[in-house]
Amino acid sequence: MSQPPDAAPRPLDDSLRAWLTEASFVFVGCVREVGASNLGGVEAEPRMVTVDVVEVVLAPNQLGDLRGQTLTVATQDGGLEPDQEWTFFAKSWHYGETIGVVEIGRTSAVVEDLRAGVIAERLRQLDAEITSRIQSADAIVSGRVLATYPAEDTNGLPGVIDGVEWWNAELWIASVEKGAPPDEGRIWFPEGGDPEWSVLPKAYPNQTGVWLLHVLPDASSVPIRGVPALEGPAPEPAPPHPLPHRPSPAQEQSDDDVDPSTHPPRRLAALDPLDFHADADLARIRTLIWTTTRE
Amino acid sequence: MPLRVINVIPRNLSAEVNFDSEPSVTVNPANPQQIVVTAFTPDTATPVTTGPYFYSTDGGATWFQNSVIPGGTALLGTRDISVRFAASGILYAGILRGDTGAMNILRKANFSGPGTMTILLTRTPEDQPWVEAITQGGADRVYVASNDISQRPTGQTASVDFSQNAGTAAAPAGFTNTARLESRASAALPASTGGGSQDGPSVRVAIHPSGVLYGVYFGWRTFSSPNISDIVVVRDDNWASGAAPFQALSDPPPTAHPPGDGNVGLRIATGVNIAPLGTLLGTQRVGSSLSIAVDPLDSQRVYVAWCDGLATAASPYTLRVRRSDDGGQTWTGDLFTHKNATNPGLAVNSRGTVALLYQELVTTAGSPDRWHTHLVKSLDLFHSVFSDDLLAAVLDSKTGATITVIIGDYDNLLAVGKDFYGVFSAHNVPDKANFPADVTYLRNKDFATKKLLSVDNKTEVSPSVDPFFFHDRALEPTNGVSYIAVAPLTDQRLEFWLSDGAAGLLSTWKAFTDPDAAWTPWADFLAEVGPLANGARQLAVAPLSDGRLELWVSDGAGGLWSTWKTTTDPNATWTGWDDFLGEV
Repeated sequence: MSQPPDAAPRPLDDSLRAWLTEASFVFVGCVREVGASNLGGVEAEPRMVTVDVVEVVLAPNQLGDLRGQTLTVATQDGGLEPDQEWTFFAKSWHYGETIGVVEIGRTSAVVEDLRAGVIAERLRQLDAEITSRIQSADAIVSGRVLATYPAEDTNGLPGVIDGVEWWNAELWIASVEKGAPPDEGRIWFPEGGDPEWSVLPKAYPNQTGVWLLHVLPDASSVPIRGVPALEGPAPEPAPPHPLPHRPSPAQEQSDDDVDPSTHPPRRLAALDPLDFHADADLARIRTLIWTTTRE
Repeated sequence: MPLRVINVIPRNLSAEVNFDSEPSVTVNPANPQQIVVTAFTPDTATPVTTGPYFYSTDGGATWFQNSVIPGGTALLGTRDISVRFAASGILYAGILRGDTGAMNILRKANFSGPGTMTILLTRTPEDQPWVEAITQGGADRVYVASNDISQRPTGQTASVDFSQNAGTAAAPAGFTNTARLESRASAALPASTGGGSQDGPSVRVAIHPSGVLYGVYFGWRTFSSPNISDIVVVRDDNWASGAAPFQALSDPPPTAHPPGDGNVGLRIATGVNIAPLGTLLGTQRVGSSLSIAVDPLDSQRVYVAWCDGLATAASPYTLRVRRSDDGGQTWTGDLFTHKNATNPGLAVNSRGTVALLYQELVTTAGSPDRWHTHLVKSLDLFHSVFSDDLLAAVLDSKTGATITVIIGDYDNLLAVGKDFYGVFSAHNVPDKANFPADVTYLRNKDFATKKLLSVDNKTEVSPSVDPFFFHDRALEPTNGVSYIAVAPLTDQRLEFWLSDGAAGLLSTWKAFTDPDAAWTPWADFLAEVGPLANGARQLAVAPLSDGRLELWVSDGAGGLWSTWKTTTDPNATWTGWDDFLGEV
């Protein structure tokens, strides 16, 4: 088995990071045939190669162990020779009896040198997505769901025309990590509606966890269809929160009474699949909050 | 087998537990081996920026997944999606993107290859884009119906975007035209939701090769519980190429009997009560179920199916089929109705046979609800049902679902030549009893234990919902016709047999006693009576003294076999093959 030519460019760390923003496959493969495809229904093109997978750094879990399998790689630019071994960064393309991927980049770097960095970078990217949600959140609380029930106050909430039914969850709040806790410990969550609503966090009695809560805008001020996008101007700062009715540790530290009539109730909801986390993630969320407040 | 049902999840995705609902299907009219199916299916990879569709290049026997639809996320490959091949082989799609929800009209020349589909048009907010396409005069004419809710300020939300030549030009590839179908005041929405007014989500178009186009939509008149809606049909007689597209059909004038309002768009039904969109039938939400099909033999013959009712015991959600034979000017009453049914899909084949796909919630005391998926065909303009195939009878279950559109707001049926092709979504427990027309799974499974298995073929996988493709293939003589025979049944309808060049034996009969009645599609007589080891050659048939028919067949090895009707009922079964030389 020959090695890639010495002149093969070694990507810089920045290149690897850029590749990883797209790559769902990172694997070491030995080129079997150039201008070939082992995919049903796909005619071979000159830039396609079949590759025997030697080692896997990253791949979708659902696909099982890819080692020993032959994949078809649609390369960026061709230029490969049989028996060369590369570490491929690739994104998803074709599934069937066999798998095809689209190359983003490749490196001759030793896989063991890459493995830890790839995993760390992928986890950093995932943390960055959560951090983005933390930054946009109006309130972050941990606690337990005491009860759920259909919301009485649905006036102006988005999605109703598409069949969304809004529910309330009443929380016992264990800690307030950011902003003011929801009024009376009550948050909103959608049931039903189009698929984009379905993937949002739901609440169940006795459920415990960490909620990254966002103010639900009126239907009249958000995109007509679909989940409110948190784009555009930053929301107004949250008003001081009134003392919730149900005492909890966090509430004992809350501000003095505030006249609710002067502050329209904030309707807080988890508006992204990343807006709910298990209790065990609280320390991590706290760390990410800490980093966002000090950036 | 003329009817084949296949779970399209490929083997490599055996571990998937998605609720792959709300499917659509397209078949390349120029090469029916090429088929694409879509559903609410996300790519299995992370991160991901594309969503997949399923495709076959062998007529639906094997399936693959191609992740090339822009805007996919880990949870939503797309939101609503529909697809159509033109005969050029170019694939078109209308989608709501998984990431932003914006509508994209998409194009891909090489449907099996890598490379994200080309975005021809983007618009938001939108709902339920539905694409139809035809290659005519070397150009791909593409029509995308949708409920363009950006038009809420005017209320003209039922819309059709179209291009007269979408095949190769750069974006927008001719998609510079939008026909607004609604000519009346649509339903006012509460100010708290942003106000304005709109029609129902489902808008559909049908294309006749002559250039006659039809559209149908729910003209919502009152937004409430229930929604009050008209069922409105529009028509264009020349590819929507004129200055006022889709305005060839109007309601009768107020002076007519019965009176109309004279506005563009004929109302098949007015003021029907339809359940609000959040209403559940079983676990599936209902409230916008609509389909239209035009007879390829007659541009003036068009069928519409819709569902109305409140999905309650007093007002069941009810599927209705009606027909027009004069270009939509006048309509029959209900030709077919079915309670507790949704997701109608209509298609008409090249013989004029009309087929209806629908899904019925069957409730049995003491048992879990089940979804029954039916394929119904009529040979006589839906005056009667010729065949009713139960494709699936599966559990209505949302266990494990992350989405609440469990089987989807639609399924899809289409005709290419004499064949019907369709797709529906259903619970995927591998139990042959759930699929009376039989079923094939490509993903790993164990039919004996009724369990799904992962890619390792060992680890059990939780049930979910998968898309099931089906092909209702019209039988044809193989290698020409060898011998024929014909005789009258006891009700004087003729039955006709032929043996073909492959020693097969097919039969057809008049569907009704009317001498002008249609002949049924070819049936495999050897499948009905039993196989002949050496095939069928020469034929003879004659009535016995009581009118029952007896048929004699010589085989390829010098044998002679006979069968006869078991009773004088013209629809009676046939006996098994009898060795006539042994008898005589």
